[in-house]
Amino acid sequence: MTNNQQVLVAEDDPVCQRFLESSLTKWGFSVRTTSDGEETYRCLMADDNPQLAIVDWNMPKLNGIDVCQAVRERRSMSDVFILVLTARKESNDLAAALEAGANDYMTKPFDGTELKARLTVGQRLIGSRSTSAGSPAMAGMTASLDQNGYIAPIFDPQKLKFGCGLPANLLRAWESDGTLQKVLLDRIQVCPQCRCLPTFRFGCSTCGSGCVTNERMIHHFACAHVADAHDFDEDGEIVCPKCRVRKLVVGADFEHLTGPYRCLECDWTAVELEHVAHCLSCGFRFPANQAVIENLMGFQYQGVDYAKAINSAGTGLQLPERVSTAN
Amino acid sequence: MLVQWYYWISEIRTTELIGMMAGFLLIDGPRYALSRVLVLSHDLVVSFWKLLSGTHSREFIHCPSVTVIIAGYNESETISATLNSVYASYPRLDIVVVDDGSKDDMALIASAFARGKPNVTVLRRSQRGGKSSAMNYALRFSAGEIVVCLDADSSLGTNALWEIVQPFQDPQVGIVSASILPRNPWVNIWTWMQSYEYLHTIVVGREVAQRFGILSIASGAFAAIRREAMKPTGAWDVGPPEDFDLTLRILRSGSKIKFTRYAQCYTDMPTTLLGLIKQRMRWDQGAVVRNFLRKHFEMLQPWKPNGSMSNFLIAVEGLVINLCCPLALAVYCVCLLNKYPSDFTNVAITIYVISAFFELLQVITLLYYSDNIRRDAVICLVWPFMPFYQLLLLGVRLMSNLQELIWRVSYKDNYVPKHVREATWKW
Repeated sequence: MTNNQQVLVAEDDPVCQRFLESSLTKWGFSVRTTSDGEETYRCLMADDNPQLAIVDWNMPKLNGIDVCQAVRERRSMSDVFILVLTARKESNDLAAALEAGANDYMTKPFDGTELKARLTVGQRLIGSRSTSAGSPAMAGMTASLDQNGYIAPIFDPQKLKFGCGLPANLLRAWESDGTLQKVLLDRIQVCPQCRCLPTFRFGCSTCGSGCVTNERMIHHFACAHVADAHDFDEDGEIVCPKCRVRKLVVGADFEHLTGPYRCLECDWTAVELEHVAHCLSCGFRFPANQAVIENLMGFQYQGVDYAKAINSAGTGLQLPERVSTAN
Repeated sequence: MLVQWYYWISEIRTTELIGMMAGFLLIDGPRYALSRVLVLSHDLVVSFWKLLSGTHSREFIHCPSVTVIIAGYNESETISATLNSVYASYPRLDIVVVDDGSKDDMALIASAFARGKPNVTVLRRSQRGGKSSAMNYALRFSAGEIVVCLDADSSLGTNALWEIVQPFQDPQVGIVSASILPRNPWVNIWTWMQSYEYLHTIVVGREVAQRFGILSIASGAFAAIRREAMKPTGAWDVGPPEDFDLTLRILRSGSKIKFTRYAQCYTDMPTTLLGLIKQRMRWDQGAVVRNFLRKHFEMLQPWKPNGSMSNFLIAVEGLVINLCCPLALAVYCVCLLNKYPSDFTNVAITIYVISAFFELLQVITLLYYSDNIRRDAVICLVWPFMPFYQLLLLGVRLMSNLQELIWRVSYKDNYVPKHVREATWKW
């Protein structure tokens, strides 16, 4: 269970520090020790910080509560498991420690078995939350994972774009170290100007409007005259304007044909409509074949070392200070 | 036989010979030969005078907007070649192709050609409505000042569109007729003889008819019509023949007709005798009887409003040449048979020899007006057989006119869909 899990012992009392160090070593932990609050804070904020820490309340320079508060500003509850060890037994003290960001609280003198058990719980907590919202990034990733272990893109109706809910650079980092594997889910056509989703329909090839109408025409069999249907209308009666025959009957005397399309916006006319797109975000209208084809990618969880993954993702990256899954 | 004929003809008296040959001019060849020699003589003098005055160069100075309408039914095999010959041959051009309810891939092929070409429009009708209504349908989608109708199985010659629009410089010209030339003259003897006939009746014949003011046809295979001239007439009526009918209506509305032999269109001719007879039966059925004796009978009444002497002459010439002459020739043959029962063979040979001589005169006129002397000279080598060919066609014309007079067979022609010909008027 321990597998050389690193534990920080922040204790200014050398006897207690020595006792904790020997017990933890016997239980299989790898121990680091600090003697004051400032040193403890620096150790926990380092890149290779231990994930488990036993912190004494009363320490020089910075007490344990202040260390918890300072650490929690940059490290989440699942990044570092802090167990406050103190002689204080008041419930107020317990509350103050937990509110400051401690994961657990034990009083001195402590029971070794109980301490070991609580540290085991701490290990378990760090291990499970590695797959969940242990960090803002991992929280976002956890929130995006479905039951099959995929991070699927979600459509944002405000931005009219697809997104995974995680920073792109983070996803790239996890992909590069093998945490996630990119999976092609689909291909979509987007606006060439703003890359948002357009709507596609048949419309005017000049202005791209979908407001087109076409006229009906009439073919009079007897005289082969073909004209717009309204040319045949005379006070509600169908009369051929060419040969002046009245009371024409559809099917027997004439048939309907389709006339040219006319755009209601720009008055363009043509035989056929064009397949055009209209971007719902920027309003750009363009021929459908000029839409940019984008790959819609998802990510599959590969189940590697998350601590390493998070660390590698944290290197050179600026993770959000507050827990947030928004981009 | 020839020796016996020679002795017979040398013994016959001149007056008797003249009496025997009196009806000779009823045959097309000699009659046309005389008129053409007359025009040729005039043109020779004019050409010689121009040669003395200086050379005359032909320039294209008139460039109106043109819409070419190509309507067809089941023309998938030829539409592509037709479109290729038309496209980009004229600057201010748009093309409208109408698929009149075809059962083949004509619309698909035309649409593939039209892709990326904004001046080419393809229309398709699900139900066949006939060529006339297909052309009228295309008019609604076109805007050119000059409308050119072209058959879907024809192809244009060099600068054909430029040539055909030049006569429209005269604002009174409403319709221009062009040369229809054979595309397959060497398939067999029937196409060879048809080629000769096309060259003489169209290239030379229409030029002569134009000079005498009796030109009355602009073939629907390739013709140009001023859009404004079509407005009073209402464009095409139900045929057949819709081209002849439209020409007459434009003439009756007061416009003029011109012919330009330099605007050339190439088309395939029937390759079998049966196919040729069927084609000529259809052409002749809807020609003079249906038009001059029925629908356009008023052309024979120049005293009526909108009547004119030129239209009267056109109608008279058409009736005389196409109806009266074949009938008279049949009577003439019977009379000859009656009068010379034992010498009919010699009489026939005499008629043939004189016909062949007049055909030779026609060959000379054709070679003068030809723009491809080498090709036309080879075509003209078939001239010895043409008197027989003309007799055959005269017989077909006679049968066709009689059928139309008695049974109105043109109204039963499948050229027009059944629901249309049942709805149209029986003039």
